[in-house]
Amino acid sequence: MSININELTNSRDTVNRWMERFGVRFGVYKHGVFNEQLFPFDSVPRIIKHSDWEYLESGLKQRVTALNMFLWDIYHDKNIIKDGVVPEEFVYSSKGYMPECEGISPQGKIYSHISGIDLVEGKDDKWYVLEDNLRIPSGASYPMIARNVSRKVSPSTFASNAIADNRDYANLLRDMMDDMNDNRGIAVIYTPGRYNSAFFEHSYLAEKTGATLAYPGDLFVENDVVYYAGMFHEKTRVGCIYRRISDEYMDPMVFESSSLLGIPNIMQAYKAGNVALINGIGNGVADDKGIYYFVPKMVKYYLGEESILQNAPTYLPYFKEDYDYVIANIDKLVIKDVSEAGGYGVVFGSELSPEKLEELKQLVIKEPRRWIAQEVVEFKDLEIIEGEELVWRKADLRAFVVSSSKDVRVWRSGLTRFSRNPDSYVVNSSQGGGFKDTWVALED
Amino acid sequence: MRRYLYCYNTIVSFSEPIGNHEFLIRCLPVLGEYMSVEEEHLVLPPDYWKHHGTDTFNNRIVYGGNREPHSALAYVSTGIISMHPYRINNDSLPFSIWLQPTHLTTIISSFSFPPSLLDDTKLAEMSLMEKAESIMHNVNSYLSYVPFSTDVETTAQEVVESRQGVCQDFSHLMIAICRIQGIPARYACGFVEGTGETHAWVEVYDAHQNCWVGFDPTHDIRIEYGYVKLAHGRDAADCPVSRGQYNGFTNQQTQINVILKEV
Amino acid sequence: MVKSFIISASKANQLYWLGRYQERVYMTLHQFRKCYDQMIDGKPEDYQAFWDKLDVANCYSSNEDFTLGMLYDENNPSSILSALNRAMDNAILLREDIFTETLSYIELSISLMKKCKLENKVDITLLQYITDWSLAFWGSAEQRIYNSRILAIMMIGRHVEYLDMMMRYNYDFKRISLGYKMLKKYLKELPASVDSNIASQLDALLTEEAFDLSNDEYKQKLIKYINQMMRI
Repeated sequence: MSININELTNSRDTVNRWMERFGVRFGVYKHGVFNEQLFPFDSVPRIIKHSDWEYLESGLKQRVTALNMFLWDIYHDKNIIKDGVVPEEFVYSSKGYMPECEGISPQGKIYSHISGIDLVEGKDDKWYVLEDNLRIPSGASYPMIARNVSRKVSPSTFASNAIADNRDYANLLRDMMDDMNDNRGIAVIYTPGRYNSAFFEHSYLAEKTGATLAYPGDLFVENDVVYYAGMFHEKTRVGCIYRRISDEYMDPMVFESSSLLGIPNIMQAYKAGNVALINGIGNGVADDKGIYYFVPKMVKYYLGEESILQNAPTYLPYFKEDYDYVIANIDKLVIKDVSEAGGYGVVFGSELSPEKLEELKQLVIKEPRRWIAQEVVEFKDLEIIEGEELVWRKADLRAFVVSSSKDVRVWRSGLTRFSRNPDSYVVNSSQGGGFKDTWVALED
Repeated sequence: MRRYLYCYNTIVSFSEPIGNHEFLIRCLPVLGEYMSVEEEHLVLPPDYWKHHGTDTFNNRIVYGGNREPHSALAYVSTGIISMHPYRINNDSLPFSIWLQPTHLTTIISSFSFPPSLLDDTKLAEMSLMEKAESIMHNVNSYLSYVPFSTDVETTAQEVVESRQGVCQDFSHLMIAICRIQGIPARYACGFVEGTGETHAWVEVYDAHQNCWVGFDPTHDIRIEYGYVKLAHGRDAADCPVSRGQYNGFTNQQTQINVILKEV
Repeated sequence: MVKSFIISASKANQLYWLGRYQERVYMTLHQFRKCYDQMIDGKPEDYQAFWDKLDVANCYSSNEDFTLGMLYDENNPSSILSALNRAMDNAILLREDIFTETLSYIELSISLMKKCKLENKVDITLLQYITDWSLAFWGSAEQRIYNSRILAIMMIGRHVEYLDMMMRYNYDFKRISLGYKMLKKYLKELPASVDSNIASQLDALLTEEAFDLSNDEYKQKLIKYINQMMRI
């Protein structure tokens, strides 16, 4: 299938005007001051071939299913540790492992209801998973609203090409929330407020799903049940909370005691099974940098299948074989510090001076457990329009997988983020990157 | 066996009425082989909803709330317990968590310990319990006990630098060093005789006896009797005796009183 | 999905103030246009009469200064841009209740005003867009909002502001009593939020016989009561 996008790219000023009209923004803190910026949108879409998509879809479903099984296992029987597939030190030293979640059984055994899996397409035409985001992945609202605008501005582009409509993301969320809510009460999206970088998304998803947008102070717990408080002291029961604040701020009675964003005693309601939290608490243990290495092994362990999706080639100096390789090839690898606090971050061996490289090598020798190393994946660049010309830039794809107790569904789109800096691999929106819509072709 | 009478009471008063008040408290003695309850009473005001439960460390908790405006929260926990020597069985939590540094018990790897506090070669020849005892002695003589010199958020790193603190800080420093040495250690809090307030100490896992034993670095003693435990956790943040949150601009005054007496 | 019709206290507060600021944009612009027209062939201090009615100290030295300040000065709480910003502060938190399409009229207004501000431009014909979008905002709100209490709270805010401005600018009894009737219609949706004591005082003050805005004490009392009638 050949797709002609000229009409759409020619109307990019109109597209951008509409994006502004709808207030498509994200917040950035610079020198302690909060600023809302328009999220730069590039109208050249990333187009994924139908056959590629079928492969990605089955791989994503498999991966997220295994990750949810891993989370259940870690907070219950721990068989994967007992069977020696994942060494316990990688689990319990992870900042994301929360002993407070031991024995808590989320409905339908689902922890990660909304998973954001970051992938890149390599120059070898293969897709690689770079990172799993199982806590509060954001970004789905941007391609949704961009599609809405693009279809207005250039209807013929969509009339003549068979592209999966991505505006059904709200339906995916709504179905999942209904399943998790189980007729107990209302569903809410819980936002820390306007000064969160993804506030646009919180409010937009609330509008599109029909969930109530709740702010700190709106929800409270009484007798292990969560309620939404009305202006006349009336209350209504809450059955499911799609929360957009991190674990440590959720319950000041259990976690960070100074948190004013939380819902005191929510953990007791969660433990009693009276409210579904989307996503569950304690998911950080499964999207930890050190655990990433083991995800294909999890797929094999829990599902008895080979992993369809590949990780970027990764080494754990913790294992002797990998240790030798990393020490010998440190100048070619990407080295990541697993211990987050006061960490070394992510460094490219090729960019370090010989002295710095030697220093890093000594650190790896001293504490092998603390590091992972990856081959540099050569991404396939994508075209973007800069001024009047087309240029090539690094880009990744965040795919969204929605899991309920009934099924696992992959959203037929995704957030494609690109770096505006030609030399940078960093596609983060807070670093000045932009985004593209992701089109999934309905036929080859 | 020895028997003790305990009585713990707290009065929190607010200068202006507050609302949306929620609390979670750990003021009931832990149950287990070293301690059993002969009699216990917990008195809480009637206008709060309240539930009993346990936290992930199996400490007994009571939590609840009151949304209507009010000006005080007072409660009393009292009873008689019988006590055996301080040996506590292990629970079902993954053992590794007692070896991981936490925010409050981390000492940066570049810190160079004075030998009077930590001497690797000396420790190398000792048994696990001797090591723990030696670390306790060192912590006790390294730090000065200075009331109000620290607060609940003071970290072991800050304590090792300032060389002063209260029972919480003595305990955190001892736990931090134990974990560096590969000795499983955890934080405990509760009542001791004669102080009038709650106290904190350290439990260390004795692999030979398969149980947790108690060390009090503030008083430099190995614990046998007279320590009524309310809770334990990885550090103080896991097991505060009380936590609360409310809405309102007010001055809060908290009075706490503890009586513990062998009977 | 079960939709809750309960409105939280903070949301009610935001809806009320959204209504007020959105109406302030419209009314200020309306008064400003009249004043601007007079200044075309009038004296440099002519804006003073307009300004005095808004209870703020004079800080502009000329008609031109005043015009720019009234339109774009974000430090002047009475400026059009300030009122739009405050409307947005509330509206941005209410997207799911008022809908993106309604919210977008404020986005459009702010973006046009900021563009004109950058160019230091005073083009009275461009301001017509702000008036159009303000009316479109209300049309969109009435068309789309299905929770009648949500709409009622916004409308209460709108009419409180409308009455407050009309009283300041000495409108006649007919206009003011009509506005008051509308306000009472929306207040019926939320009887528990009405201060009944103040309501009966207002009923007594707003009769044809009692009406006298040239009496300053009377006028101040009216303005005060209108602002305190809804407890939010």
